[in-house]
Amino acid sequence: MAIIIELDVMLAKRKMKLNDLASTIGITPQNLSVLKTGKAKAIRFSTLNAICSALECTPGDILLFAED
Amino acid sequence: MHKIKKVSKYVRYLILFLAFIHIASFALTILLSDKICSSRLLDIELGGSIYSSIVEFDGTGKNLAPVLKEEGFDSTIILGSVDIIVYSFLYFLLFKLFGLYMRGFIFTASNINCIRNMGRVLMLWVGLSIIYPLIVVFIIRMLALSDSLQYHFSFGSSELIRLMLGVVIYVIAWIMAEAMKLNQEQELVI
Repeated sequence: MAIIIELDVMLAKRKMKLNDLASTIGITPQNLSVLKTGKAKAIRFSTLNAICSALECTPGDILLFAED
Repeated sequence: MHKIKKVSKYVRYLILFLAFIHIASFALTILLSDKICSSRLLDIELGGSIYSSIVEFDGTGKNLAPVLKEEGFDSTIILGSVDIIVYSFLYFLLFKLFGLYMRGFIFTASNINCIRNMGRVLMLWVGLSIIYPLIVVFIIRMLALSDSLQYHFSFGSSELIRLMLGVVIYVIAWIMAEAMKLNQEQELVI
């Protein structure tokens, strides 16, 4: 896929664990793991907003575009 | 969910009971064919009506059954055995489907496969009911068991209904498969 999820990079930068982020933004760790591994088909604006708020970053820090 | 499981359990027993009555009455028909009166009506509880539906052939069988009898062949075994095999498949698929419902699987690939296979069996039945009598006559003529037996071909209302049911069930299964894909995709929206 051309869209790359860099959630793990941001989590490492903020020294935060996946489970902590999941509990902060109110989604299950399984769903967040689906997003982190790039298996997700889409992301809701509300989820993106919550992730950005929790990690104090912009959507561009999490989502990257790369040519196939 | 509890209701579905409970109802499915009873439906499963009902299917099993009906399948047993159906197959047992057919077996009785074959075993007791000599002892049954010329009208070929077996007067037993429950099985009576089912028995009648077995020996009262429709479509090509309706024309071929008396001719086979005249030639000295047992039309019940020759023509009825195909129907009983198809019915057995349908009973098996229904039993399997309600077994899945009973275990709490409602919209899974296995359910869809069961429904799709039921559609396939019904459509196959139409082809079989057209081709099988032709094959029977061909084999009898090839083995020189009878020269006067004519080829019978018909496409009646029962074949049309089976074909329609088969196509509709197959399309429903396809729609369910597409719905399942949509649901799976929806689950991947975070």
